[in-house]
Amino acid sequence: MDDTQGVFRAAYIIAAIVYGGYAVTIWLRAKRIRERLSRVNGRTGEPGSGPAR
Amino acid sequence: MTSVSRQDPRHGVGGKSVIGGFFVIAALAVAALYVRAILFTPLEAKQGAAQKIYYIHVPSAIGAYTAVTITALASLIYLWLKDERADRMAEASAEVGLVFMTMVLITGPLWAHKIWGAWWVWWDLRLTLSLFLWFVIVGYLVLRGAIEDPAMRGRYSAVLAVLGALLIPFIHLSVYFSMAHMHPDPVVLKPSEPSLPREMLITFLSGIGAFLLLCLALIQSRYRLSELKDEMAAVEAERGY
Repeated sequence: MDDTQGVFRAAYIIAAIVYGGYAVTIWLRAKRIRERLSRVNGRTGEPGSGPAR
Repeated sequence: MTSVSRQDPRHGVGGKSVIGGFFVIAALAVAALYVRAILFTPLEAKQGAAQKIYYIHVPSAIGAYTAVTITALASLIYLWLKDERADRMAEASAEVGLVFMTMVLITGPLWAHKIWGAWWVWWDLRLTLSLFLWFVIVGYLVLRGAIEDPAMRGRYSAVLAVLGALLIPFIHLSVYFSMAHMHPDPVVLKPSEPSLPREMLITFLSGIGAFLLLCLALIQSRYRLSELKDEMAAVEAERGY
């Protein structure tokens, strides 16, 4: 049954990519929102978020 | 709305990072499972290495069922209390459930192609119901994206989530009440003793533990992302953007 090694490896690699990739997308989406929040706060001079009004 | 998050946008609501320590622990648990399954678990005599797909396929399915069940429970709480945190939890769990269900639908055919000689068998009830559940979760997320009014979005999607979760017992029990099935009968989650050798059983149970941790950690991270999104929407509405 050596020919089943390939399919077994493929399944484990795909699982790592899918789950790891999903975690990365959560992180990236959060990063983008934080940057937007930062820009909005900076534009209106929220205390501690940018140049003073 | 907390002032901490607005002042420190490097972190999520309340200064928490979306990917936290819980996720790191879950990732380490999955890595340990990989090492155990690949290096320290014996090969099954008939199926060879393909049988090892079982250690990620079934735990992924259990993770998907858990996420969909959390979606349904949170939806019921939302319908009852109209608490937006419950709606947020339902959305987060549904997205994680979709990822886990997708893995089930990828790893299953990989195994089936080698062992059955076919990627998919349409008349097998468990396979077809699993695909149907995948479409229900996709439909749930599309529905949420299509409705702008938060109250209406929460109510409609909650009803769909509760109805969708009713599929889970049918999927699990389908191998018992359907004569036409190729999917293997349960070897652990069944009324009698597990029929796996001890070393394989330990790997399998470790897999369930690791993937449940991963599922809950991803739900927590996705929930924090939803908090951030809601905060962003509130700030933009407040400022009139």
